[in-house]
Amino acid sequence: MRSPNSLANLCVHALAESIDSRTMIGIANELMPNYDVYARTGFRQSMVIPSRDMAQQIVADIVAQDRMLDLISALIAIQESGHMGRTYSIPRLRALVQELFEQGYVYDTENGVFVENPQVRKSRNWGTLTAGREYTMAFLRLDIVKNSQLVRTNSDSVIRKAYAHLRDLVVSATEKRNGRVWHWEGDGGLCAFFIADKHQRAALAALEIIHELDIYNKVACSLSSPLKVRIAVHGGPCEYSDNMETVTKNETLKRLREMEEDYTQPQTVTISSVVKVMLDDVVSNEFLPVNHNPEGRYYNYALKWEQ
Amino acid sequence: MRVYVLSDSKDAKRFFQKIGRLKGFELLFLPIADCRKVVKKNDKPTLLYLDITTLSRADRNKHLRLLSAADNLEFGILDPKGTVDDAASLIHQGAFDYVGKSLWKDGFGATRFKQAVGYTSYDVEDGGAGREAGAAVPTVDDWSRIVPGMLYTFCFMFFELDLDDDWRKKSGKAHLDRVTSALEMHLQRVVGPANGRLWIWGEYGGVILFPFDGRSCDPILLCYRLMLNRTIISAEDYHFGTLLSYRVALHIGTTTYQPRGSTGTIISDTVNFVFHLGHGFAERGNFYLTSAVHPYVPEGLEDSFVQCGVFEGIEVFRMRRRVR
Repeated sequence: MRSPNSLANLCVHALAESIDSRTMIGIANELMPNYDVYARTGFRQSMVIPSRDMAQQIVADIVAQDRMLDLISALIAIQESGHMGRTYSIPRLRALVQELFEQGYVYDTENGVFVENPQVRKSRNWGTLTAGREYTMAFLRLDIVKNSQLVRTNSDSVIRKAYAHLRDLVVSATEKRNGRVWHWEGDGGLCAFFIADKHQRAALAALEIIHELDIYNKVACSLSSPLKVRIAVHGGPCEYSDNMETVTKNETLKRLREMEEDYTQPQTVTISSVVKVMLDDVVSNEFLPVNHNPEGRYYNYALKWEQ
Repeated sequence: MRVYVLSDSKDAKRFFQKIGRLKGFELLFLPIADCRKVVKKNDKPTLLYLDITTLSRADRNKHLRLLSAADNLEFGILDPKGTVDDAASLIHQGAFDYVGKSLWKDGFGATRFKQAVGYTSYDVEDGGAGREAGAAVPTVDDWSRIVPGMLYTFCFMFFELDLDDDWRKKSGKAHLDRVTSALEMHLQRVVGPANGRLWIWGEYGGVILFPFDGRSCDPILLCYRLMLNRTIISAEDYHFGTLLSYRVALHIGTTTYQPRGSTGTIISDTVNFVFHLGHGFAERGNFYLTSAVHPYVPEGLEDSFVQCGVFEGIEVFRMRRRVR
């Protein structure tokens, strides 16, 4: 993100007016490992660096490393929970949050980070994930059933129209819940959820896709047979990368793939026990244990009608 | 005007499909066994088509006598197998129309139907309507053209939360207020894009109006989604930690329009019927539509609705329930 001078000035004030030098150095080291404020300021180690000078140098270096959002998140965490057993009251924090809101960022209390306000912009990393760092996320994997057969038995234009509809539907169900479609190919895709209630958001997006596809198949589908998908939802740690090949090597995503391929019937959703325990009862009750799955790890949702 | 079709054949609906979309005409499909009931209860100008395929000669004559003696009723004969040798004799016995084998095969168009209705004492153009004020009932699809005090055709949506008395008694006022406000906000958000407006509204539900243009009925899919997405709605729009249950019913009819809050003076058969249907017939957690709405069910979705009875002389369909 671009850090305007006003934001940097507010940060300098917040740090200098509320946090002692030792704590400031601690915060700087958490965000920039092996940070040496003496080397950066030119002060000798035996000298006391004035608070304002130290704050100015730290903020300048944070801006240079594009870690401003992390610094302000750290200040919020210190205000809420203290630091090393000591409580702090940080001035101008409200103004900092307001300034970031105006720049299109909102604070996600669950993850303790600033993320993009989805009404302003939607980028792949929510404006906050850094490549190479590990995050806890929820994922939705979707695969079109009998894709090759559909492609063989329908004209190109009919297939294109149906698949475009499915993609729109997936993007809509995902993005309205502040998820991101990370990958989309001809026969399916991968969606990621990071913000608060990520597991529930992913599960509800999956239900909505199944429901909307049911309506589409009944009233609008021109394919020779209904367009069916298999959906799996799982959550766990994942190292963020802009490269999809790197992402899919992750253990969480490998298990997600196994759930979708081996434990999911057409037009159903399978979730892992990791996801199920994070759901509200209202949603969790919709999922029943999958037969023949090891250690009862998976649960399934299917849309069935009375006859 | 109500058009009853008394037939035990499944093809009857197909045959009358186009007629169901004519403005001012409300199609009602009933079994032949209900003929006497219809005649007995009928108190408004009505058209009726009787399918004679399964009737013996004696039964046929009995029905013809019953229909020709009925007040406020004009009848036509459906003869899909062409069993009647002398169709004119039916006209002599009071029928205004005869549908034989070849016409049955080709289907019934609006022009042919209107020609036949021209032989009755009813006005073809206003659909014999006048249920509210004896005037033609315009159909409009735009709220800006709807003037208070005038009669219009609307699609009426009944919606009410299924709340247990026990739950209401145990809940504090603040919580109940949150429920009613969440309900109203959610429905405003859902029906707004489909041109719907909350109209006669109580604490936990009421009637929503959609202008009806006689061509399509978007609220059907809207209500279908409301039922399908009950879990999603309960989790995302209400946040009360419980699975919501609600009854929904759709009907097309006429009423004099008055804005929300000024509806106290409205006297309308349709409005009464919609409330009776919602409170007296609809069961918890179900979605119903009447035979006036059924012809507008999008193609492909027909099988999602099953006949579930007749209420106040109008056939009612219920959306199939989800099972686990």
